[in-house]
Amino acid sequence: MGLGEAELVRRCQRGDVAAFEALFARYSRRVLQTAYLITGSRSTAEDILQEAFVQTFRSIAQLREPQAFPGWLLRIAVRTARRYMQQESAMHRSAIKAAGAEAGSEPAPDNQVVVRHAIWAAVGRLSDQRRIAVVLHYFEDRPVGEIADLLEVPEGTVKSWLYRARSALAAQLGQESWGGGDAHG
Amino acid sequence: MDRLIKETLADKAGEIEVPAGAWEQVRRQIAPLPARPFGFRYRLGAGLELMAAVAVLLLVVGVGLWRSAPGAGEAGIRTVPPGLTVKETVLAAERDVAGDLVQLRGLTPASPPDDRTKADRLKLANEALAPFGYRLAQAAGSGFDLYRGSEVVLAGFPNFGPVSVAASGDDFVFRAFNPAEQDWLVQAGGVREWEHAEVMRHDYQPPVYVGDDLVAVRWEDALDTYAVWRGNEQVFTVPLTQPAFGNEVKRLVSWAGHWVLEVQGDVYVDGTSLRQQFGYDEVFEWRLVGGRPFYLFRKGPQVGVAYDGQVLPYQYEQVPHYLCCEPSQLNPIGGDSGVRFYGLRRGDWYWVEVAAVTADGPHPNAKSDSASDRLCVEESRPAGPLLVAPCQESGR
Repeated sequence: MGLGEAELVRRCQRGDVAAFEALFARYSRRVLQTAYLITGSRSTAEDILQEAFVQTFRSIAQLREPQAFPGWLLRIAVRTARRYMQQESAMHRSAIKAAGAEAGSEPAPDNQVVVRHAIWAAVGRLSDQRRIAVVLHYFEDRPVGEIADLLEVPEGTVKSWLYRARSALAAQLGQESWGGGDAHG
Repeated sequence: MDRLIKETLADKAGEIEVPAGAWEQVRRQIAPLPARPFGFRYRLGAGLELMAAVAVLLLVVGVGLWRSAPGAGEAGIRTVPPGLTVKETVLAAERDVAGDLVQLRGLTPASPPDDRTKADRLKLANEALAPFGYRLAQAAGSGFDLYRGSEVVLAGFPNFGPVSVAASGDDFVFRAFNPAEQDWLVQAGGVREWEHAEVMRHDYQPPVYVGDDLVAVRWEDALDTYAVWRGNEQVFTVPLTQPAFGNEVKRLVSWAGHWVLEVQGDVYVDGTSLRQQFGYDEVFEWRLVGGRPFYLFRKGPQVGVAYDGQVLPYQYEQVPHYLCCEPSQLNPIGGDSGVRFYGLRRGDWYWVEVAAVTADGPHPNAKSDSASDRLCVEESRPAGPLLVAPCQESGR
């Protein structure tokens, strides 16, 4: 995060809506995509995007370290997503599973696409915690320590989730889908 | 495989774009009224504008004088209630650290009572569990084992919460947990797994016994509303108005036949808000320290400290709390036998250690005054001599 963004955060803390619009422009796509990967639902992801940014603005005065803004925003987004998943767990579980199942059933033009569809379907079948950990690690490029901090769990727990998620993906896809690759990544 | 997962997720993420009008929807919620176009400045005439400027200047000077008045949050030796010690250590000037808690952490002295706190916690829990035939013990590797008689009924869990016992002595409840991985609720009848969805619905707060009723806080269907249930009856609801970091519900405690809920800057005792009762702007960090209530409160520009029904002679302009990110998130920290926090007073950041006097004696830094049977506390400055004064001369 550059100095310009830290200044934007400070301005937001003084109630500057234009500065917040600039932050929205920079981060909204990433938040939306992360929410989509976690929930598997476009409409829910859009709701999460909106709610996460509203919450962010309302509580931005609590952020003492402006340079921590990206991680802080992600924390709010993930927390909002978890809340949505709790609230309507059955609906979202079915949403992402349906998305995954749909992806898995589509005709695929080549082997790589088949594998990706299969991975997405398998991601949809992961437990909420493991899916969040997978999205944060593989999409958000967050190291294990940061995911642990973000989800407020020990690092070992995140490592365990990721290991189990990879194992589950491999088991669900079948070794042949990997063309003999390393099933445990 | 890592690469494939990464590519798949990037591929899927590319399917969704921020819809047109998304920002407008957010903007409407955060700023429902049109911004005022500096109306104050334009509406006033030149003379009034000058008067207003002078008034603001006088206000600023006045506040400055008040803030620097002798006795306003002055550091030094204080008298605190029996059973409590308070130690303040000056860490740094605000002008040098600008509220950066990471820097403050680097300057913070090691806190000696940690091990004692852990041992006390185990001892307290075992005293409560003994009549039921249960016992907690340090596990061979790490964590704890729970015994019923000589049989291990739950092995190797890293942490546990306080034990709450029914007034009749017929049952108890406590949470054993492997943080966010697995939770168990332990009662006289046995151990049961506490499902993760349920744990989150209760915001990680296990039920507690108040009298012979189990009291629980639960997130209800209406978004952002927590409810307190006493047995099968919903006795209280609190809507959440602000998002929080960590858990929104900070704690649910049973105390002297009451339930106490801390949530979002207020503390409710049997549903009565301490904020409203005492005219505080905010109440936080409510804990039982040495079995007596401790909390911090903000009233106007000052944060005060209350213990066992008394307001202590300590005030701060800031005690960071409910904040993101680490280490701000960890301020204050505490347990059954004490609380520690960073507080800003008159341009200096203090590390404040509040500790209950336990059976093993007082806080290592406390000075005992046998004449008054009160405990006096010294303020230490790393770069200078300790400030020590007789108890009789202390107090404000």
